[in-house]
Amino acid sequence: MLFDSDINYTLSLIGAKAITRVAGLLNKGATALPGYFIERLNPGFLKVISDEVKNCILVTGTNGKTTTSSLIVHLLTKENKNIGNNHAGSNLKRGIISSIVPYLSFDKKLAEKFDYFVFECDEFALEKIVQDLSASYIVMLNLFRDQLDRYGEIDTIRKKWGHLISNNKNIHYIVNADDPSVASLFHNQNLKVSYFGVSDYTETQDNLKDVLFCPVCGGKLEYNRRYFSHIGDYFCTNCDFKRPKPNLTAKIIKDSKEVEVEYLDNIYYTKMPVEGAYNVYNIAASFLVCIKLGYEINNLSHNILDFKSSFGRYELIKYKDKKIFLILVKNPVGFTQALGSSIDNNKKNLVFILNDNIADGRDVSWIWDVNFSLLKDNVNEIIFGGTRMYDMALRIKYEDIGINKFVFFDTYKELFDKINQSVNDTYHIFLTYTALLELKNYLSKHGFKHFYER
Amino acid sequence: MSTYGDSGNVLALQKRCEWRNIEVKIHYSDIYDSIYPSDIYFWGGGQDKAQEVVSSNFSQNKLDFLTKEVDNNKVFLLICGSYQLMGKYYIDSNNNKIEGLGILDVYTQSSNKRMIGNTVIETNPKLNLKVKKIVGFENHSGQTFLGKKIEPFGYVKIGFGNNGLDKTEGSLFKNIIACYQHGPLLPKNPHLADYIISKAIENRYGLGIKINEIDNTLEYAAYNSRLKKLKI
Repeated sequence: MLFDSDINYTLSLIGAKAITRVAGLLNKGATALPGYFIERLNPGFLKVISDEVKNCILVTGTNGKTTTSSLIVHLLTKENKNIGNNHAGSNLKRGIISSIVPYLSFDKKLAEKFDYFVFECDEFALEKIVQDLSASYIVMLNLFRDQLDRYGEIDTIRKKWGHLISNNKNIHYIVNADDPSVASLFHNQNLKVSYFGVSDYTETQDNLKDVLFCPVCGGKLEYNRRYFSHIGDYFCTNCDFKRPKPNLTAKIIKDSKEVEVEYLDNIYYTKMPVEGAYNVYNIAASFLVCIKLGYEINNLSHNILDFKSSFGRYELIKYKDKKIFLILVKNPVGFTQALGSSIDNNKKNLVFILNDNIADGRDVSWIWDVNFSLLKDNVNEIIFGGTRMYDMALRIKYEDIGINKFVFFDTYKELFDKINQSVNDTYHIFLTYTALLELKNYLSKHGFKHFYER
Repeated sequence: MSTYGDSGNVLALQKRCEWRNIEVKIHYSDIYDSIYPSDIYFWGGGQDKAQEVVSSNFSQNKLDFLTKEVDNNKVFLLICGSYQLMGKYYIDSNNNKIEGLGILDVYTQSSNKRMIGNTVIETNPKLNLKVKKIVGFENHSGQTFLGKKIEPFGYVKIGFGNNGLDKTEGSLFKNIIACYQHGPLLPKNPHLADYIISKAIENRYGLGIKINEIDNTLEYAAYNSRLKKLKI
C-alpha cells in the first residue's frame, strides 16, 4: 500500500506541477487548478505532506481574511522570516495545495525552508483543512451573513467551528472578543485562546443585527455599545455570557489615521496603512498573532506603515488621468462599512457592479441590508453594471436618496469610455468578486499589469 | 425574525405608499413586544434557532390578538420561517417538534435537501394580479405541506416551492399571503406590492378606492431580466 500511495503522490504531483507551469505560461491565473487536480486524484495529499507544513497560522471569518493574512505575512516578512501563503491561490483546500505544489519535491519534502505558513481559509472549508494540516494558530475574525445560498445558515458554520474547536484543543485561537457568535464558542471552555477587540469605534448606523439572541442560552443579548452589525460590547441578560476581556485592544483616534493599541496596560501608537475604519480589527488581529509569536509591538507598529492593500481592497488604479478605487463587496456589513469609509463632504462618483455568478453568491437579496442612506446628498452620479444591475438600481431607487438618473453599462469598454469622457476625475467602483476579475481582465488587455493576487 | 433582505419588502410598501402621498407608519416589533395594531403585517424569515425562541415565547394574548386580526381580514405577508410558524407545527432538523401558531392549515418537515435558487411562480388566479407571475429567490430546507382548508399562493414554474414535490408554492388564506420567496420580493414584483396596499386600503375604507399608477420602468426591467435569464 505504501508503494501505491507513493505512486499516487508522484503522479498527482507531476500533473499538478505541469498544470502550474502551463497556467503560469498562459497567464490564466488558474490558481486553484493544480490543487483541484490533486484533490480529485489524491484526496489524502495534504495530509501526506503535512509534516513539511509546520507553524501554520490559519485566518478565517466572513470579512477581513485577505487583509488580515496579508498583514501577518507583511509583518513577519519584515522580521526577515520566509512565509508560505496562499494569496495567489484560493482559500479552499485546493488553493492551499496549489500554493505548496511549486515547492514540493518528489520525496515529499519542501525545496524551500519556510519559517511560517499563513493561510487564509474559507470559513466553511476550515474544518476540512484543519483535519489535514496541523495548525498552530487559528485567527477567527467574525461571522456575518454572507452567501447564505452556499452555506445555508450562519448557524451551520458556527456548528462546524464548534466541532472543530472541541476536536483541536491544542491549537491557540486568536478570537474577536467583540463578535458574540464567535466568542461564545469559547465561553466556559478550557482552551488556549487570546482575544482582540476594539475599544472605541465611530458608530456606523445600520439596522443589521445577525445575532438577536445569546448564542449560549438563547436569552436576550444587549449591548453597552454596538459598533456595527452585531459587533460591540455585549452581555446576555439571562446567563453569564458577556464580551470577554480582550488581551489586546485597538482604536482609531478620532479624526485621524492614528491607531492606539493597548496591550498589557501599555499603549502603543501606529498608523492605518489602508483605507477603511473596519481594518482596525484586522490590525488588532495581526498584531496579536505576531505578539504571540514573540515579536515586539514597537517593531510591528513601525513595520506596518508600508503595507499595501491588496486585490480590490481600496486598490487604487490610475486610468489615463482618472483615479479609480476598486472596492470588493461581498456582504451587507462589508458593503456598509466600505460606503461609510468612502463618503466624505465631497460628492462622489460611484459605480456599482453586481454579478450573481456562483463565486459572488447566486442570491443578491443581501444588497437590501446595506445601508445606502449614507449616500444621501453625497453622490454626483451612479453607474450600474453586472448581471444584476437592475436589482442594484432598484435598491438605490427604493432608498429614495434623490438619484433619479440611472445609468447602465453592458460592457467594460462602455464603462471606461463613460469614465474617460466624464468631467469627474475620481471614481469609486464597488463590485462583486467575478466583476472584479472581469474588470481586471479588461484592464490587463488594455495595457494594465495583470495579476491574480486575491 | 428578519433575515436577509426582508427589510426590502417593508421598504417597498413604505415607498410605494409615500410616492402616492399615502401616509405610512412603521412599527417594528420584537419578540418581547406586543403586536402593534396595523393594516399590514409583515413577518420575515429566521434561522431554526430564532424560530424556536419565538415559538416558545409567544403568549396566549398575542395569539388571541393575531387570530382576531386574521379574522378581520388584515393583510399579512409572511416569508419562510414565519410562514412555517403560522402553520400547525414544524419538525426541525433535530426531529424536535416546534408547535406552530395553528392559524394556517399547513405543517412543515425539515429535510436534508436545501431548496435554493431563483424562482418563477404563477400566482393563484384568485388573487387576480395585474401581472400573473412573480419572480423571486428561495432558500429553505423545510418542506411545507398544505392541508385541505388552504389554497396555495401560486404554482411553481421554476424552483421548488412548498416542498419540491407538488408544484405548489406558499399559502393563501383570507388576506394572508405566505410563501418561500425570501428577501426582497416586493420591489421587483410591484404588482404584488400594489395588491397588498390596495387590499389594506379596501379593508379599512371599503371598496372603490383606486391607487394611482406610478412609474415602474426600473421595477419591470429587473422583473423582465429575470424572466429572460430564466427563459420563461
